[in-house]
Amino acid sequence: MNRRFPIALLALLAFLASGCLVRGQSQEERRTASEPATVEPADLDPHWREGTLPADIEEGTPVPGGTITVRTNGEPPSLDYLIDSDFWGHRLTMHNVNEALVRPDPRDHPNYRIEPELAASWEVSPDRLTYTFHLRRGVQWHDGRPFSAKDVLFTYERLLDPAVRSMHLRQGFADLESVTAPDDFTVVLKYRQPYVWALERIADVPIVPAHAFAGHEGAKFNAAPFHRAPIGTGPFRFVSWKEHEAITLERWDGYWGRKAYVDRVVYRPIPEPNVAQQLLLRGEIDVDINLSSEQYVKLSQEPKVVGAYHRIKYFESSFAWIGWNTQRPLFRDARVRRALGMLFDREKVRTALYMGLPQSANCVFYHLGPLCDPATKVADFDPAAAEALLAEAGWRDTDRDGVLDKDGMPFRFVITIPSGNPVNEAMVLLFKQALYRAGIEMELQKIEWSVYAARMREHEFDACMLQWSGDVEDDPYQIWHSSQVDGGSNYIAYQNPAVDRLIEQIRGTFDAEERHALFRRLNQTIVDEAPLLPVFHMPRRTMIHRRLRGVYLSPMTFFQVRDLWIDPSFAAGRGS
Amino acid sequence: MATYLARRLLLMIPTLLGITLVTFVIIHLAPGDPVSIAMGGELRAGSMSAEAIEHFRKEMHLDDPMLVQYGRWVFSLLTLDFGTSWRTGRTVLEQIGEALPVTMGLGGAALFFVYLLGLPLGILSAVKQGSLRDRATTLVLFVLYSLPSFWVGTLAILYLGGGKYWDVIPVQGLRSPDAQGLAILDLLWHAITPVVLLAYASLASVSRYMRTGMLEVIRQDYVRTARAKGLSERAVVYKHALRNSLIPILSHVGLMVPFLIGGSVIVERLFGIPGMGQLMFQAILTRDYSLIMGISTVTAVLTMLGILATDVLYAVVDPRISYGGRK
Repeated sequence: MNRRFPIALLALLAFLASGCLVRGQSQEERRTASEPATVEPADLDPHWREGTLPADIEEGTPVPGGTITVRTNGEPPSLDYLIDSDFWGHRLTMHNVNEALVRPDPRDHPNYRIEPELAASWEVSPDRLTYTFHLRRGVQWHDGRPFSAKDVLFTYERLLDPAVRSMHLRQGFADLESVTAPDDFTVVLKYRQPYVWALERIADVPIVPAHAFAGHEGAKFNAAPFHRAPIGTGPFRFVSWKEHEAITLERWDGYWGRKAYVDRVVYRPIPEPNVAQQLLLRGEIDVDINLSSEQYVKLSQEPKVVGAYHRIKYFESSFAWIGWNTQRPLFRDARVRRALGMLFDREKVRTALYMGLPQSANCVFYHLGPLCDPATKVADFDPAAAEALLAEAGWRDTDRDGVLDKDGMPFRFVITIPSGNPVNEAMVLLFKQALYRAGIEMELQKIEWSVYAARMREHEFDACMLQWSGDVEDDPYQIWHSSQVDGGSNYIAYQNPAVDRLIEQIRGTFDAEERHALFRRLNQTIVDEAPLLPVFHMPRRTMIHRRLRGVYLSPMTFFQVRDLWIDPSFAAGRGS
Repeated sequence: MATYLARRLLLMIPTLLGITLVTFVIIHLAPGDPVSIAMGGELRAGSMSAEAIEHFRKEMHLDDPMLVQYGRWVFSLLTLDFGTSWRTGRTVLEQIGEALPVTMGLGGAALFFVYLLGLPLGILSAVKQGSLRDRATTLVLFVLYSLPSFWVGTLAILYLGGGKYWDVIPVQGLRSPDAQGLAILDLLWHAITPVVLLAYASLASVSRYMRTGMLEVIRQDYVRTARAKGLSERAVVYKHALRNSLIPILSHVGLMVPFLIGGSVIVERLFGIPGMGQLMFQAILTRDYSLIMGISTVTAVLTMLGILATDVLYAVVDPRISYGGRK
C-alpha cells in the first residue's frame, strides 16, 4: 500500500521535469531532436530574410469577397478619431469608415501628396488665407442620408469647440478664423495667418454626419453613442463592436469611389503576444503589425508561419530618445551632452538588445522623408573622445573618488524611465556601465506611465527616455521652440535662439524644397547641440498572410484594406 | 428574523459609505490622473496643450476639493447615476452590466467544480487521516495551489492551443469568431480552460477546510456514540458527521464571494475574456475614476449581500443558531 505513494510522486516529478526540459531546450536541440522540418535560414526566401514585400503581390485581377482578420494589440476606447487619438481607433476608421475633405495618397511614400477625398477639388487664395473646397456631389452616408456642406460645418464647429475632446487635432487649427458654407457643396476655411500644413491637418479631420448627434451638444458630444458606432462615407461600413472580441467592418456598396474588394474586415483585439503567436501558427490572422522583436526573429523557425505569411518590417515616423533636462546645471553645456551621447553604445543596443531590427537614429524627423540629410550623423560610441570632451568642459576627478567633479559638484544624475519595459531597462543598465567607467554615476528610476507623463510636463527629471511619433512632416514648434517649455512639449526645456529662428522660418516657408532644406539644417543644429540623444527608429514588425494580394507598403497610412483582396487560388502551407 | 435582516441591511449603508470614501480618497491621492493618460501612450508631439489640460480638468471637476468631489459622487449615486467612463464615454452601469455576468458565470462554474471535487477529497482525507491517500491528495493539491495561474495558462496556450503542439483548446475569447447567435456548445468549449485555471488553486483550501471541519466533528462524543450503537461507517460519516462539519464550509463560501464578483485579471487577460477583472484593471491603468468607483461600489454591495446570505444560511444549516429568538 505504501509503495504507491513514491510512484505517484515520481510520476509527478517526471512530468514537471519533462516540462522543464522542453522549456530549457535550445533552438538547435529542438530542431535536431524532434522537428526536422524547421526552415534553415538559407532556405528562406530573400524577401522573408530582409523583411520586404515581393513586388508582384500588388498585381493581378482583384477577386471580390472574403473576410480579412486583423489583429489589434489593444482595444480602442472609441472609434471616432475626432475625439480620440487612439492608434487603433485611427487606423480602423480614418479614410475607411469616416473620410476627410482630402487625404494623403497612400501610394506616394514617402511624400504622401494630398489628394481629393470628400472634396473633389479645392483652391487656395494667393495670400494663403482662404481655402475653398468643392464637395463631391451624390455622396451618401452609410445610413442613406445625403452628405452636404452642413456636415463639414458641423464637424469643424465641434472640432473648434473647446468642450469637445479633440485637442489632438485642434492644435493644427489654432489660426483658423472661420468656416463657412456659401452653398450646400462649397466650404470655405479662412485662416488668420498662412499655415504651411493646413491641408495635411485637414486630411486628418474625419467628417461626421450632423444628423447623428441630435441631443449631444456641448460637452455631451463627447459621450454620444456615435463614437462607438460610427457612420461615415468611406468604403467600409461599421457593423458591430463586441468588446474584447471583434470590431467588424463591411464593404459599403454605395461608396462614391472604387469599392473595396473584401466583404468584411474583422479587427480582433488580442493583447497577449503568446495568443497572437498561436493564432499566427494556426493561420487565423491575416495582418499582425505588433510582433515583438523576438517573435519577428524566431517565427522564422516555424515552417507553418513561413509558408503562410510574408514577414515585413517598415518604419513609421518615430524615434526613441534619451533627453537631458537642459535647465539642470549638469546638462547646460553642449559638450557634456555630446560626451554623454558618445558613451551610449547605440550599435550594441541595436544588435544585442533589439536583434538588429532598429535603425540607429540620426534625425529627429521622419528619417525616410526629405526632412533628413543622410550626411548628418550622431557621434558614434567613443568613450575616449567622450572623456576628452568632458575634460575640456572642466569635468575631472579632482578628489580621486572615481567620480568626475567640477567646482565641487560630482557628476551624478538620475535617469527616469517609464516602468514596464524590461528591454528599456537593460538598455539603461548598459548605458550606466559605460558611464560608470567614464566616472559618471547614473541612477535608474522607473515610474508608472501616468505619473511619468506629468513629470515630463513639469520638467521634474535629470534625464528621461521617451519616444516621439509623428507624421511625415510635423510642425517642429511644439517640441523644439523655446516658448514651448511652459505648456508645450519641450520637455527637455531646450532654449536656443538659433533653433527658434529656424522654426519660425520653416513655418513661413511655403515652398516645399526650401522648407525641407531648413528642416535638414534644423536637424543638423539639434544633432550638434545634442539636447537629446536620438537612439533608434524601431520598425513595425509585421506578418501579412500570403493569400492577400493588392498589398503595398504605406508606412504612414497603414495597410489599405480597401485595396486588399484574397487570392482564391492560394493554398495555405504552399508558400514560396 | 425580519428585524435582524432590516438591521443588517441598514448597517450596510455606513459600511458602504466608509468603503467608497476610502476608495475615493485612495484613487484620488494616488499619483497620476486621467489627464496624463489622455496624453496617450504612444506620444505624439504636444497632443495636449496647457489650455486643453485645464479644460479637461474642469470638465472632470478635478480641481474641486476632494470632499466636494466625493459629495457630488454620493449625491448622483442616490439617483443610481454611477456616471460615465471618461475614456469610452459609456455609462459605468452599462459596462458593469456586460462584464458582471461573464465573470459570475465563469466564477460560478469554477466554484461549482471546486466544491464538487474539493469536498469529497476533504472528506476522504479526514476519514482516512494520515493514510497514503490523505498524504498524496494533500501533496498534489498543494502542488496545484503553488502553480501560478499565469504560468499554467501560458503553458496551456503554447502547448495545447494548436499551432506547434496539440490543438485541443481554444485560446481566445468565449466564442469562435465565426460563431452565430447562441452557440452554447461553443461557449462551453471556450469556457473549459479558463474555468479550470480559475478553479484548480482553490481545491486545496476547500478540501483543507472540509478536512479540518470533518476531523473536528469526527472526534465528537456523538460520533463515537453513533459508532458505538452499531451504525455503519457510511451512516456515521455522511449522516452524523458531514452535516455538522458543513458550517465552516459556509464561511468559506462567504469568503469566495468577492472572487466570484471581482474575477481574475490574469485569466481574463490571458484568454481575452471581457470580465470584471479586466474592466477594473483597465479602469485603474487609465485612472477612470467613475468606473473604479462604480466597480468598487457594486462589488462591495454584492459582497456584503453575500456575507449576509451566508449568515442567514447558518441559521438554516444549524438549528442552534437563530437570529429571531435572540432578545
